[in-house]
Amino acid sequence: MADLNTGIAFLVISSFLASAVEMVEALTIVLAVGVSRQWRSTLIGVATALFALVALVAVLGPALALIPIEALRVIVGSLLLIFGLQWLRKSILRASGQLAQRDEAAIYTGVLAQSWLPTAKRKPSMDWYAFTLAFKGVFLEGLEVVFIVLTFGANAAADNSGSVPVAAVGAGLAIVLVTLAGLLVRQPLSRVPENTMKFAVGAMLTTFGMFWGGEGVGVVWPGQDVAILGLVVWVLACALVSLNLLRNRTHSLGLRFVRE
Amino acid sequence: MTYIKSFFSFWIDFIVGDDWHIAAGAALMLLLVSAATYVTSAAWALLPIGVMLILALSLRRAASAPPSPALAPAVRSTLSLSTDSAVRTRRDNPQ
Repeated sequence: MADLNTGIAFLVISSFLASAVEMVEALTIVLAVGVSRQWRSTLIGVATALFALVALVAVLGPALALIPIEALRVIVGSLLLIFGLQWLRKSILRASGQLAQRDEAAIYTGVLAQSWLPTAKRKPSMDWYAFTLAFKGVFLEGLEVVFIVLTFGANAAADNSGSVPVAAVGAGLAIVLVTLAGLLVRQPLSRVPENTMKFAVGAMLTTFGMFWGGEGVGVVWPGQDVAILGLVVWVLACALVSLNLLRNRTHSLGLRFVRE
Repeated sequence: MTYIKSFFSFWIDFIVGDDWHIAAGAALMLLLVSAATYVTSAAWALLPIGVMLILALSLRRAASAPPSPALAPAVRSTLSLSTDSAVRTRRDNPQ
């Protein structure tokens, strides 16, 4: 029972964090488009994108259940491993100063300037530009969440430790929370620690990618599910060591120039 | 035809991401581990080591690349100020 609760907790937390990060990014685009063009068309674009994403989960979720479990673990494990490493890589490069941190306020200003339509030119009829931008923004950001919900959920279902609907609940909670925050604040959520969240999600995806991918290719993990805890500690330790090494390198480059 | 090409190109970019070495490395790692399971029961140890090696190599490649315009503003301004200082120092103390 404890294993089941831990599994469900991991499932919901991973989906929640991944969804929250992507929805904050989507909110920036939606706010900018709504303010610069027309809210009605923007919100229709958002609703259409969310409907398309839910439909994708509804169709692909049951379809994944038809795949033999070993093949499912290899496919899902590989995808999670690739996504996880990509997220970890980017968050480490941003945290160490090798890449610029994502600036929601700057992106908001950029999209606002790019799509600005003078009030006199705004019409009450459908603004397809606003619709398309909002749809694309929400759909593309949401696609990664869909992948995470489906892969996590499908594997958890195979292990009887969760399901796609449970993973979707985590994602749904994040969407509601970010939307409420957006309505209250009415500006980009710049203070959300996106990079830290991406780092955490990257570590979790990498861990589960290794665990399930390994099981899929015939690995027998010592301690079975307990090995997940060991893997997550290993991934976090290696990631933090890499981050510190890169940070020191970035600072020493600056210091070397100063000393000369 | 262009539409089909764009469709596949989008999904390849979506899955492979910024660094194709990661996707290739992950696939190769799983293949190696799969082969190793026939030889030893300790094949599980290869995965965590191999995966972190893939991450380390990717980070090393990214860090070795020339500074991009996307460099963090704090680092960029530090580097430019520091370079000016180094040039002034060399000019004042030619050796």
